[in-house]
Amino acid sequence: MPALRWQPIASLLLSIYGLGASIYLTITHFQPKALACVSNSTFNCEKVTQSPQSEIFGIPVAMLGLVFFVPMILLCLPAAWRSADRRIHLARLALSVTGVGMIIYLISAELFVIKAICIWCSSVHITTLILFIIIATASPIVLATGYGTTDGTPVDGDES
Amino acid sequence: MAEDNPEPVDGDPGDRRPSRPARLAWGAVIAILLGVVGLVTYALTHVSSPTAPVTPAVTSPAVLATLSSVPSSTFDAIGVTAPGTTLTPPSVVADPPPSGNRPEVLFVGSEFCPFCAAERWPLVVALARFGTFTRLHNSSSAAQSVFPDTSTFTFADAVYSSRYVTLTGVELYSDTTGPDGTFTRLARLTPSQAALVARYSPQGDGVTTGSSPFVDVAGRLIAVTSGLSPALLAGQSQSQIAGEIARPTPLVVGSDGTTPPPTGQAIIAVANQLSAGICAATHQRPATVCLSKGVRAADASLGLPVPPASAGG
Repeated sequence: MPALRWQPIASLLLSIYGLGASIYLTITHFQPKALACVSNSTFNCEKVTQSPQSEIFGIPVAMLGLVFFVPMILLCLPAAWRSADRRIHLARLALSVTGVGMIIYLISAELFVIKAICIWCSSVHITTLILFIIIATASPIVLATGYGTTDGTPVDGDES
Repeated sequence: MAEDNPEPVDGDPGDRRPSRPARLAWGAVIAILLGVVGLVTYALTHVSSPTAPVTPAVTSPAVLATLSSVPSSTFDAIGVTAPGTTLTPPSVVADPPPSGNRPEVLFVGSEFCPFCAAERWPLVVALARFGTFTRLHNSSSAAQSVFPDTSTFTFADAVYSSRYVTLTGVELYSDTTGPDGTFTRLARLTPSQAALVARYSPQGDGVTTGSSPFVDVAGRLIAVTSGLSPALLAGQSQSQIAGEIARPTPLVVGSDGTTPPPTGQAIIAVANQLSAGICAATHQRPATVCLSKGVRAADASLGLPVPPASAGG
């Protein structure tokens, strides 16, 4: 059984960064003047964060970032990565797939509708994309039977 | 020892090949990466071309010139009355002066809103007495509004310069609807603007939704609806209205007993009121405007201090 080495800590650090950036973007969604960002014809954070696409069903997208990264941090804790409970790994994988789907929509909105790029938003998009790569490639390992055990039996939680 | 290495199968401890789920995962990752790269590449190579931007037409220089060159005698002759219609004067307030060098005129409205459409006319006429619009775009209220297709302007992307006053025009929504059937959001209020609107229109959520105009004339006057009825502009093109402003039609009863709407008079009268508010914040500068008979009449009618007439007036 191959072991995970750097993936747990990398995913945790990325999730923490994503949460921090999402908190910042949520604040600046309501207080645009607090937004520190390059502003020219291509890069314009305020144009993006104040655009109609910055909300989905009235919920600021930045706030959805919080909803994404808080559970992601929990699911990327080393203990969660070591868990033999397959539901944890499936939840992490499902969340990362949802996240990457969301960023494809948001990147499309920036490029084709708003026609401006927000540096801070892009950093969250790249973070989410890297998280997806790590989680998608690590998931086959952790979902393999017996992962998280020394002898093929679960270490915590029942095997489901 | 070849006999110790039989053909490997998935799951064999000695199998160094990626498992089938791992191959699927890597395939998904590569597909996603290719998709993102494709999106960005397409955007960079196709979307940046100036093909599709739907921007309103620029207001014709002739209309701008007309609005900027209304004779002083016209302002003075009309004062603050427009026979045959009722005007809604703004309220006098005394907010602390803004921190900037020049007083600010704040307009909050929406392109779809007919009352906003009406209010922009006197505001543009008034501001043109203090400075110059170098860019303004045409607009009209939404076809489904109570006063449909009212000709007007939009302050989105407007460029106005003045030695005396600044203009902040916030158009919250467009006059066109998106796929969800709602008017397209164009801008949002800053927290300080939202607080200002809430202070003077605590129960009027129509202001924050841009369905009625909010005008703060340099902390001296506040309007929470249009000074004139949009009905006065009904059915008239932008150039027709501009012509009415340049040569306000006297109130005459036609042979059929009807009277034309006093469009020009109403716009000039409200422009005098708004001018009076600006003058109150600019220390009555420029004197050619602020000490004029029409503005002093507005001062008196609104309850603003009336400056003494001078040679400049």
